[in-house]
Amino acid sequence: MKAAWGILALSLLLWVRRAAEFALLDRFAPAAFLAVGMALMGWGVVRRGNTWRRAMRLWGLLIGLIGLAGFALAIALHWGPPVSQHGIESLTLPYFAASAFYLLGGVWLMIRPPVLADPADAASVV
Amino acid sequence: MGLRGKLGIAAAGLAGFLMVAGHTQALRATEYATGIEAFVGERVTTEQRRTAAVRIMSELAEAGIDAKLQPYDTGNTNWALDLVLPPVSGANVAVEIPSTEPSEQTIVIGAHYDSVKGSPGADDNASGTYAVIELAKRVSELPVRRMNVVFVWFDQEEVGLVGSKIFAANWKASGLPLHSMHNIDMIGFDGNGDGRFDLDVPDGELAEIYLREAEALGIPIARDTFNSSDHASFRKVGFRAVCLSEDFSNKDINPTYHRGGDKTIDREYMQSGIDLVAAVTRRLLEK
Repeated sequence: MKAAWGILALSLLLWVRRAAEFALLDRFAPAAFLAVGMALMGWGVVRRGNTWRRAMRLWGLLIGLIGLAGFALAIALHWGPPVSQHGIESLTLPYFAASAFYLLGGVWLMIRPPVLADPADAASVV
Repeated sequence: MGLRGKLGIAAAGLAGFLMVAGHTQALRATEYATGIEAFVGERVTTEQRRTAAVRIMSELAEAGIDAKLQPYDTGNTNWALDLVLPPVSGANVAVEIPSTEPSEQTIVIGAHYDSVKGSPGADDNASGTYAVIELAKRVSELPVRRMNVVFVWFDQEEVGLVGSKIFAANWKASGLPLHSMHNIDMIGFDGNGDGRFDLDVPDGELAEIYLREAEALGIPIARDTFNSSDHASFRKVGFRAVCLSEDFSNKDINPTYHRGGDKTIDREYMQSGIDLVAAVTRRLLEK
């Protein structure tokens, strides 16, 4: 379960960094992506239970798709026509590490989302 | 060891030294070509482009002109790529030759220095790159300059006018006045030998000056409109911009355009293009 929380925290951290990096260049697609993730999380925290799990699975799906897109782009850039020198030069170890993390972490979150304690359960413990 | 032996060793040592020194000099001459040859060769990867940028600065430094690298980061060509790829990085090279009397106005003269993959980019655009270096040298020697002149070599024109868009946007954001921008892109091919250039110039004062100077120099001009080069970035943010290019409008186009065969430059033709922009610049700076 700790792994799921770790994946969630690291994925959010990476997106905060990317959103900030691009926002400084007046580009807001990563910030919009992060906003969707935060909205999902807020929705899950408020509703708890199944809604939280659904929100986590959706976030897992989104970052999983990003990871998949990363690998698809790498394949296209490596074997396709040389459309983007910038893209080709971006295919570095950190790029593949991030893509792998998003893909595997996304699948993990979909299968085993982190559990958020229900307030009712917490109250009963007290 | 006798005197002969010592002399023999000394002679051998001297011969060896001369051979090594000669070899080193030959290597240097090969590795660091000067003049326009220095800019012919693929300029696509970050390393290749950075090498070209350094060569521009070295050429200018030899004439006592201290140009600077202006690195930038920007978004990808498609917003969706911002979700996957890092920002695009590049660097323009720029230098300001200040006016000889107080002036707020500036003329920008520029050309892109990158090339497409698989092409040595002699005509496109080592010709323009070299032309702007030559113009910077000539303008720095003018006794009277009533305006500032900024010379800029743009990066990443071939992937969407990236360098010039950044430069023009930054200039606009600075609020500084800009008299006009003059772009030189592909002035190294004249297939039919008529010496004609394509000129994309807005109607009015600039067109009049260009046409008058061209006539005085005996250079035929074809007026044209195209937005496929760096001057378009300046127009987009509201500045007057001009582009001088080979005779696209009369289909006198380099058959090796964006190909591996773009290795040669018609120097005489290029020189007449440089002379034209130099004459126009001089006229503008004398006003």
